Order: sequence, then C-alpha cells, then structure tokens
Amino acid sequence: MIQADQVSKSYLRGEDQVHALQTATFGVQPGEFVAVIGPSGSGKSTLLSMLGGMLSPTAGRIVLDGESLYDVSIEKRAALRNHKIGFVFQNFNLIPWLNALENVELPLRLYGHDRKSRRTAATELLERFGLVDRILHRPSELSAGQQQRVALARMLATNPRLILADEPTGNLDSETRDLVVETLSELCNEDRAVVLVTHDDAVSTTASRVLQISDGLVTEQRNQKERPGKNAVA
Amino acid sequence: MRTFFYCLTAIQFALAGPASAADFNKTIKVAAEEGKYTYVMFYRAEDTATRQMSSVIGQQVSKTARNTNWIKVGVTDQSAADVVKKYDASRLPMPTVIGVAPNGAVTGVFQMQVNQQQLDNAILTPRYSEMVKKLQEQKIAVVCLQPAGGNTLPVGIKQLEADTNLKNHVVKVTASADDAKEARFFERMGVKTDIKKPAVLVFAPPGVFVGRFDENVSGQQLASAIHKSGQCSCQHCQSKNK
Amino acid sequence: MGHFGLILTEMIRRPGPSITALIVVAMGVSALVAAESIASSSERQIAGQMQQLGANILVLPNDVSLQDYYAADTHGQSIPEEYVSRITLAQMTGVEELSPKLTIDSQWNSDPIVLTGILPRTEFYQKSSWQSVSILSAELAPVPVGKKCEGCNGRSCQISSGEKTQLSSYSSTRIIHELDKDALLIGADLAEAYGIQAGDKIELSSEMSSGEPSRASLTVAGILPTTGTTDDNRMFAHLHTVQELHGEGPVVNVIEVMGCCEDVSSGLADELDSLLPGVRVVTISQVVEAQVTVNRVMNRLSWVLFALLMAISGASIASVMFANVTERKRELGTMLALGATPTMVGRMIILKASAIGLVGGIAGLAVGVIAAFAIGGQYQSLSVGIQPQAALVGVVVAILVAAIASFLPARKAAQLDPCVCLQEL
Repeated sequence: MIQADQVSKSYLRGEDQVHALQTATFGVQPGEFVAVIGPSGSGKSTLLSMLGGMLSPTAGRIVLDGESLYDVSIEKRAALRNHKIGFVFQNFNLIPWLNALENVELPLRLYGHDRKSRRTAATELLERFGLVDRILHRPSELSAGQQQRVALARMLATNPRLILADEPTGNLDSETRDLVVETLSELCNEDRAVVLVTHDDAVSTTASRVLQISDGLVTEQRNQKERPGKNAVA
Repeated sequence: MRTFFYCLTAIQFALAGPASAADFNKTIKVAAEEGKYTYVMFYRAEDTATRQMSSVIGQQVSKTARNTNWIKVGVTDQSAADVVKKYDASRLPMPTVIGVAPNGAVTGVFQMQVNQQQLDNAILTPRYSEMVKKLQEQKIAVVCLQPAGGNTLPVGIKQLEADTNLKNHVVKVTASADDAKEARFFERMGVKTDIKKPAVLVFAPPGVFVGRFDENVSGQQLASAIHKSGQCSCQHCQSKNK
Repeated sequence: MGHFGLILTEMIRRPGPSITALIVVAMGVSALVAAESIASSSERQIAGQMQQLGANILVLPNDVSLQDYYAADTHGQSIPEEYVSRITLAQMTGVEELSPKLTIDSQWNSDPIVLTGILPRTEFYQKSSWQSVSILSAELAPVPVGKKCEGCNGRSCQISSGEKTQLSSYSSTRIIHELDKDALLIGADLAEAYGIQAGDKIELSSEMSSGEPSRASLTVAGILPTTGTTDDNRMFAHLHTVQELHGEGPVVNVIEVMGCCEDVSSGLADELDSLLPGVRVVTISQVVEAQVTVNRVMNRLSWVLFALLMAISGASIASVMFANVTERKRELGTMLALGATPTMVGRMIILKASAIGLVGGIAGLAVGVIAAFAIGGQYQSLSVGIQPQAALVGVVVAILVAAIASFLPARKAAQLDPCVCLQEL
C-alpha cells in the first residue's frame, strides 16, 4: 500500500546538518498495524509527516498505491491525502468553532461533497462511535475521549486506506486508550493499514509490527502478536 | 450769443411754466375739458436731474402749448399728498414724469431722464388714448381700422362681443382712415391709411400684441388667439389654470 | 458555498477578531453613503426648487453674502423700494414677475416672529400698465421684444389668472396677486405650532430703527401650504405694513425677479446690474451653483473620508488576518492534513476578509441610510433618497479593499507547514 524507499530527511539547525531520518526503506500492507516507537526527537513525527505527504524527503521516494507522493503536484498530493490517508492526532485537532458533526464533515466539505451525503456519512460515523447525542456539541463541550472519538470519526469520513496516528492515546485515560487502540485494530481488519506513532508500550504491543527509530535510523522489531501482511525493513 | 440763448430759454420757461401741485385736480380737469395732455413731473430735490428734466418738459410744452401743459410735484410736498399717493410717487425713482391723456390714461412714464421725442410719443390720437385707457383698465382691446369710406364692422368682432366668456373682458376700438386725426394711430399700429379692407388688431393688457387679422376673421378665431396668448383672465382660462 | 459557508460559520461563532475590522469598514461605507445621499438629495431638492421657482434673479444690497436662497432676505441690509418701480418701468424683456421682500424681527405675545413683507402684484401692475404705449411700440416692432425668446410670455406683471390669484399660491409661486394692508399670511409650521386659523386677529409689535416701539393689528387671511423651507415658520404681511413697523421708509431686503425662462436670466442680470446702482444681482443658477459647490465639497470630502477609512480598514483587515492566520496555525494545518490545498487555505483567508468587507459594507450601508435620513430630516425636512451608486461603490470597494488587504495573510496561510498539526504548539 505504502512503500518508503531509501527515504532520508535532513535539515539545517544553525550551521549543523541534522539527519532526522536516514535511508529508511519499508513497506506497509493493507491489514497491517505498524507501531513506530522511539525516543522523543528521534524522527517519528518526521516519518509520519513524510508518509502523510506533508513533508518531502531530502532523498528517496514514498509510493502510495503506486503513486510517488512527492512526484505529483501539490493539489494531487492534497487530494491523495484527503481520499486515501486518514490522520489521528494526539491533540485531536478538532476545529473549535465547529460542532462534532461539522468536524466530521470537514474532509468531505473540502472536496465539495453535497450537504446531504456528508451529513448522512458524518451522522453514521458519530453513531458508530457512540456520539449521537453529542452531534451538536463543540469540542470544548466534549471530554478528551469524546473528542478523540470525533477525531476518529472525522478520520474515517473519506474512508481512507492508510491511517496515520500520531500518539493518539497520549492524552487519554486508559479506558479510552483501549477503545482507540481497539478501534484502530478493527480498522486494520477492514483492509486498511495503520501506522501509529506511540510512546506507550501497551499500545505498541498490540501492533503487528514495530518500527524502532533511533538517531534517524529505522529498524524493525517483530512483535509477539503476529498479524498478516508483508514487511520489509532496511 | 450764449447770453442770448439763455435769455431765450428763460423766456420759454416763463411762457411754459408748470402749474402748481396744489392745483393738480383742477389742472387735470381743465386739461380733460380742453383735450390737453398733462405731463406730471415728480421730484424730490432740485438737483441736476430735476433741473434737466424740467428744462426738457418746459421746452416740449412751450412747443406744443395748444395740446399740453405740465405740473411739477414735490413728493415731500404735503399739499400734493393726494397726487403723490395716487401715483405711489414716493416709491418711484426721482425725478419721474408721467404723461396723462385727457381721458386719464397714462400714456408714458419716464424716470430719471427724458427727451422730447419720448414726451412727444406720449401724445396720442383720441382713439389710441381710448385704447390705452381700456388696456389700463385690464380690458382686451380689439382694434378695427376701417378703410376710407368703410363702416362695416367685421363679423368676427360682433361674434366676439357676444362671446359669454369674453364679452366682459373685450372692448372694441374703431378708427377710420377718413379721420385725419387718427392717421398717427394707423401709423403706430403699422397699418397704412390707404387700406381697402378693414384690419383687426388685438391687444392684451398692458400692451401685448395678440395678433393681426383680416376682415374675414371669425369670432372663434379671435377668441382662440386671445385664449392662446395666455393674457386673458376669462372664466374659461381661469378654471383651466386651476 | 461549502467554503464560504465554513467562513461565515467561523465569523458568526467566533466574531471577536473580525469585529474591529468590520466596524472600520462599516464606518467608511456609512460615511460615504450618508454624505453622498444627503449631497445628492440636496442637489435634487435644489434642482426641484429651481424648477418650481423658475429662472429667478435676486437683487440684493451690494455687500450681502448669499448663503441660502430662502434666507436671502434675512441679512438686515436694504435697498430702496423704488428699485422695484425702476425694474417695472424699464420693461425689460423676460421679466415676468417681481417679488420684493422686507424681513424683520417682530413679536407676538412676547414670542419672536419672523415677519416678511411682500408686495402684491396689484401694487405694481398699475405702474406696469403706464408703459402701455411703449410696450405697444415695442410689440409692433419688426421683432417683437417679448417674443425674442421661446417661452417668454411678453412683458412683466400682466394680468394674473387662475391659481396665481389664490393667496395660497404664494408658497409655490412666490407671487401674491392681492393682499390687504391689514392681512396676514401664516407659514404652515407656525400656524400648526400656535394653532392659528384664518380670521384670527394678531397683534404684532416691533422696534423701529429709531428705537421707538411699533405695532400692527392684523387679521389672518390664510395659512400657507407646507413648503419645507424657512417660509413655513414665518408670517407674511403687505410690504408697506411691514415697512411701517420697521420705520426705515420704503426699503426692501431683496427683490426676486422671475424671468420667463433661463435663457434670459444672464442677460437680465446684466441689465439689472446696470439699471440699479449699489446692488448685487445674482441669478438663481449662481445661488444653486454656490449650493452645488458646497455639496460638491461635501461630496469630495466624503470620498476622501471614505478613502481614508478604507485605507484604515485595509490595514486593520491585514492586521486582523495576519493575527488570525497565526492564531489558527493548528486549525489551518489540520485542514491541510485533511486534504486542503494551500490555494484552498489562501482562498479561505481572502474569502473571510471579503466577507468582512461585505458584511461591514452592508452594515455601513444600513447605518449610512439611517444617518442620512436622520441628518436630512434636521435640515429643512430634506427628503433624502439613497444614492444607489454610492451604496454600490461603497460595498464593492469595501469588498475589494478587504480582499486586497488579505492577500499577504492569505499567502502566509498558504505557505503554512501542515506538519504544525502534528506538533505540540
């Protein structure tokens, strides 16, 4: 589904060249739940940004469903992000002045889906996450867990095949954390791939594969819990 | 030579001196009886303009003594208060001279300065002064100038005189080319005395020329010209304007 | 509509940041709309009055500065009434009517009353008719004098007909046919305020120029219809009665000369100027021109003010939008992550600014309309009509200024790194 090929990212910090990621090569297939772990500042978010088409690599290629993400136009890349990639953020990143329903509709709204269809889709998703009674609530009126569930619903609005989650459980209590992880695991079973950045061992143990990043180098740790799918690590 | 001229002027003045303002009514009455024109001169002070005007009138009266006389009235003279009021002279620019016909019509008013030609023009023929009198009474004057030997009144005038709307507003004035005294009237109306057929001229107050017509004009044509001129104050036009 | 709806939702639910910019835009547009509407309505009113009054000329004392046509007789300076006779007797072409006036301060039951003396036509008809012979000569000349100009009815002060003989016609024609020496006409507002009715006796007192008190007992002959001018708050009496109260003899403050048509007014003004010493002859077109000039200045000032406020609006909008982009970094980054293109994000910023321009413009338009009606109502009951051109220009310029001012913030938003949404801020 997505393939990172000799991907490197470096940037200048003052006069020093910092290598955030060095020649990483790996692939993620549908059904795989990949956890990315590593210490703070090791390049986890850099990797996730590059996989999400938001940060171009200094070298190497990232191919999503046969299309090289950084060899297409900005517009095309944005469209690929909208149609094929779903993001889940640590801080939920809900739009504060939109209610739950409108937040879930947002990805559809950006691409001109009609009001009726996006409203139906958004309502169904909120129902799925048990938020039907919170549809018209704004993020500030929701608990952290509810907000993350709204964020999950929003992520699923465009029915993406690749889910990129950046510390999605970082701000949650254990109960909600379990729900989120369980949800992401279930999504893998719907022929999607999940790449999840986490510090939480409990979360990473649920992954089918674990990618360890340290000083910009990506290495693979096979997890006890086997999941189907191919892997390739540099 | 100059001395002689001054003497001559002084003699002329003596001969054609003005009547007293206090005798205004009497002078006007006598003038009317004698068919004479009266120049009534109003002044405020014996200034240069007054003296010049007096001189011109005096000379004119001395030349036409048979037809004219004159009265000099000071607007502040209490004995002449009536005549000042009659002519609202306190509100006239001074000096001013008014020509008064034997029938009472004002035949000219000249302010600040006057010349003999103007004074001469203020002397009218009897029919002309009759017409002016009627115009000053706010009547519409229908003038019929007859050729020598002619005495048939155009039918249009008769019809106009019978018009219910206009009969109280219209006055007929006729003059004949046979009458030598009226030759000047013909001349001033721009009509030759050798005309073969009657000429009809219509005037509205205070002297607006409404039109000239031949003897075949109908009463309706005359009436419509009068209405069209906007100068009549007949019932028909008044109600239309409201 | 999807994106615009999103922007409107944000503006409604989070109005704070937009309000300042919106107020400045609204101020600019309201200033323009109000000033333009008042100026154009005033111009229309002047034009209407001019049409109603005909091709008028004012004869004024030499050192009078003319501010307002309707106040042309309140300067306190005078010219001799004999000038009226001079004009009447001169029988100038195109002079159709004369209206001399003398305005004095008087009192009624210790209330101050502005009393204006007017001269009925019957007073100078007689003098006009003395000119019969010379008029006849001129009329029968090859080119009749009175017909030189299309529309000229002939010579001055002829028979009144129709409505001109009605007392109430004074308010529209400024001419009165007949008025008794003890008659009084009352302006509409004054009559309403004091409950004056025809037939009432009114004792007016004044102070003569010598300092002696003067009195006149007058009978109300009629109430004049509303004119929307200062005439509505005046009383009118026979000029000679007012002169007696005034005690300065036969003088007037102004002589209004009604020419038969505009074509003759400039020629007439020259003739009157040479006929009457020590006067200032002003054509109504000059008066109108003066007022129109004032209007134009007001008009230009309103545009300058508008431009100034629009510049401030632009700066304000730019600043608001820059702050907005900075504050909403995470929001905008999230949108980029969710698939928005940089162009989309930039467009949203421009659209939001334009919406501020539009809403501010419409609010300004509404405020401007209310202000125009309120201000217009205070000035001689000026009936204000909204200037659609100014309204349109105001709103369109407000939108354009807002859009242009938001260009740089929009560029900044478009260049945002979407990765910001993945980081702690």
